[in-house]
Amino acid sequence: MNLTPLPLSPHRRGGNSAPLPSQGGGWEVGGTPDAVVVGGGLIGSSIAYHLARAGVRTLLIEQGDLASGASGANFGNVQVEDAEFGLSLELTLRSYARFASLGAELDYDVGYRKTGNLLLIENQHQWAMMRQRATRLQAAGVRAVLLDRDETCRLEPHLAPEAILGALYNPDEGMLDPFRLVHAYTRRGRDAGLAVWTHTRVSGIVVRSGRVAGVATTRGSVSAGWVILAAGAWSRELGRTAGLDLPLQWVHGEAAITGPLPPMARNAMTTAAFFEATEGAGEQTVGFCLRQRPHGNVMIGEAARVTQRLSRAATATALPAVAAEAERWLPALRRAAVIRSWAIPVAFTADSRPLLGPVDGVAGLLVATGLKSTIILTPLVGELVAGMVTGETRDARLVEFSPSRMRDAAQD
Amino acid sequence: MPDLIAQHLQAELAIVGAGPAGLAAAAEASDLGVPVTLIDIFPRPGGQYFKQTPPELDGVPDGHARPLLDRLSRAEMEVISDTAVWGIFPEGEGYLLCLYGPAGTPRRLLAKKVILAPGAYDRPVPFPGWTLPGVMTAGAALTLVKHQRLLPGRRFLLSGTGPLQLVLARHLLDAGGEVAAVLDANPFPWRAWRHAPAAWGQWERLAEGWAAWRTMRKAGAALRWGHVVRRAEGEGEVARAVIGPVGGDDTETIAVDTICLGHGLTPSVHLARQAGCEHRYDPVQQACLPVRDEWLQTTLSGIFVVGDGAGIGGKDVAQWEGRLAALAAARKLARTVAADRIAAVRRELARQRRFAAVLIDLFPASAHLGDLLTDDTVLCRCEEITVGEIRRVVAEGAETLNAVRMVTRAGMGRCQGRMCGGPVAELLARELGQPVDALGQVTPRPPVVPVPLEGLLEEEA
Repeated sequence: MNLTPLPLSPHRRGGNSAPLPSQGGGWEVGGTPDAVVVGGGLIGSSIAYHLARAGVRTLLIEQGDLASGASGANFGNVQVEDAEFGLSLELTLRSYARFASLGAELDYDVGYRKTGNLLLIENQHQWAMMRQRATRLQAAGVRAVLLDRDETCRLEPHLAPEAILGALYNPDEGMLDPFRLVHAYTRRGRDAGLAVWTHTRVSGIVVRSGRVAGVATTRGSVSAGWVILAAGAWSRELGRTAGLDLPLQWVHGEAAITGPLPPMARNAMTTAAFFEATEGAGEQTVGFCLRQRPHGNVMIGEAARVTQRLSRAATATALPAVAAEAERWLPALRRAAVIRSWAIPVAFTADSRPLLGPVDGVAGLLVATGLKSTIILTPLVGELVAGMVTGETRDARLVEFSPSRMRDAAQD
Repeated sequence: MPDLIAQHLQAELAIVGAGPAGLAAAAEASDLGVPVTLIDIFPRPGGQYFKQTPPELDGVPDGHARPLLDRLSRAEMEVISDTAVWGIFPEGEGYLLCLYGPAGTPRRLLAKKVILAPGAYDRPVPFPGWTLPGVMTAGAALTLVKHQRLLPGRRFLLSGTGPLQLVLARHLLDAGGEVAAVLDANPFPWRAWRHAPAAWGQWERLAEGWAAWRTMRKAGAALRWGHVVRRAEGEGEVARAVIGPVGGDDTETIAVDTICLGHGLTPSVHLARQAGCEHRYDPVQQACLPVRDEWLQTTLSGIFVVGDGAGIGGKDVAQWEGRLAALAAARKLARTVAADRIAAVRRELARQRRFAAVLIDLFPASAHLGDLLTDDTVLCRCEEITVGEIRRVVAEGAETLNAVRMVTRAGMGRCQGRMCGGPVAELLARELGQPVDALGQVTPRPPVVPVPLEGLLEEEA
């Protein structure tokens, strides 16, 4: 893996560089930041913040509003339990350690709190899977324990006992407000000179003689020696403009939220069925998950189908399916008023590992997307990717996440 | 999935909303032999203009509404009352309407053509103290006093604009209430004479306005032009209203227990927006309105929007729009429509629109009401978000409605932004010095009205 980057622009630190704009939109069209981050979600905003903090002149470009893709359409779970074992879990735990002080670091209330998490077990097959998982998580230092039905229902008395055998419980998992986290990163980034262009679409990544030269946008072209692609589900189309065929697939996910309710679920809950799901393209699958937000609203999900279309359109079948599943698990929700739903394409990879790092053959182009549990990895991935630009990230094991890995495998 | 479609109740023409626009559309369509399914959220048809007083309170339908209401008993007309449409989705050549109503109501309706006649609601105008009990909309007060026979206070102050305030004042006085004053945010309509040609023939309305005016004068209620309520005060409920000229300072404190706000109406666009019809901001109406062609069809083929839900025009514009859309839908459903009927409907619609334009010209929503907001004024009532919180995130870089909504949660509550959507957009426009239409729009998501979880299921459990 080649982490030797292009030289940074001479304007990077001090010298005769012009004063950096403190507000978004400050870059002149045709100006030259050192790095352009494409995608204003969790990962893009964290990378942009870490770059700006390291003194790299950075421009963050987002096609809509910040956090308007999958980053703003999730349950806000800071979750350990579903990480892939190995390097993913190691990074997840390292990243998790940063949450306790994240609010202080960013000087902003991102709504972080520990709540606990339950992976709900319905059958013997899931029980066996979760038992194995518990052992491996414990070995990694996670306080995960298997609970039987009674213990689970004591923790969450509104759960329908007949629906479950037990649960894999981790008391240390938590939640935050993803919108506020993205807002906090860009806000602090701006203090360090970050420029932010929202409602600006990147139409192409410009590559010249094997090196990234910048991006073309709806506001004009921007030259930059580094381009970091962190556009979630939109990354695949953008990658094509640089000749990449990123091994990303999309799930069209739909979920809903009720009006404020009295406290009825302390933990985040997810059915362990997600671990045995085999989704066929186009087929809707529904797995129960739930999270009560601090204001009392209960988020319920989710209906998913593997899709070839980037769409935010709600489907007529998703809400009824989500409602039926939620009612089965928590009958008390039956009369709760559902006030809104949402739909979003979410990027995933076939091997459940992220696309993270430089791209073979295009110097200066980095990819950061396809993470499985994005929120918990957000602080660390921002730091790692920023470190790939500054040369401070030297962990050779990250090659496991190389965006070019599947192409390499295919060629072998 | 043909077998799934076969399960659903089917309609040639679904009309959503049984106010003047929906009722007229239903009558016109059934005249042409088109079977109509009319869905209405209220227990009795009529909407707001033709709202029916319950029979147990000796209510009889409005004389104007009677012919339209009588038509509902026709065989080819099916009426589904007390039922919300919470989402519209494309399905085959038509649209799938998701319904929620009392037990036994169908949950899904597959319609070839859809006419939306959703009406409008009182334009929310926040000011310090507007969340105190005792502050209500003029529409709510009118419903209570006129149709529920309840006087919602003793001593009233009316603040807003337009002739509907006079109508409300008259009803309050007739019911034994005391009206301390009626404030109109606009200056005296000296320009009215210019509109005399458009008002010609509108005798009934002019007479109603005149009668209301005389009742008020006799009761000694003052009508003050160019004034607004600047602040409501009281311990736990309204006790005083501080008033002043628009764009000026406090000039007077009036002891009242009820403040009625009548700053005009704002179209109910949630369902059409959720369905995916394109909307654009209209600076005259100060609202997002559906883009429509000359047949009142939206950017989605086969979906029409008529009446106040497409722009405030009143009950007569609404009825003629309803009729025109019904003719267009009938043509699309391969019915023969006489050219002279189309011409006659267009002619009458044009005449009614001229008069509606007069009222909008004389009584626009005032641009100065945002001056009243203080940092501690609550803007989003569902989530209790203040003006100050919104100003702070704007200073931190939020530049669009969506950005403000996501970070502050303003507009994420039960009302899905019906109350705070407009005021937040206007505040943001002022803070950024930009026109409202540059701030983007927040798209309503299904369900567009709160629906109990079990009500979302395709069939009753």
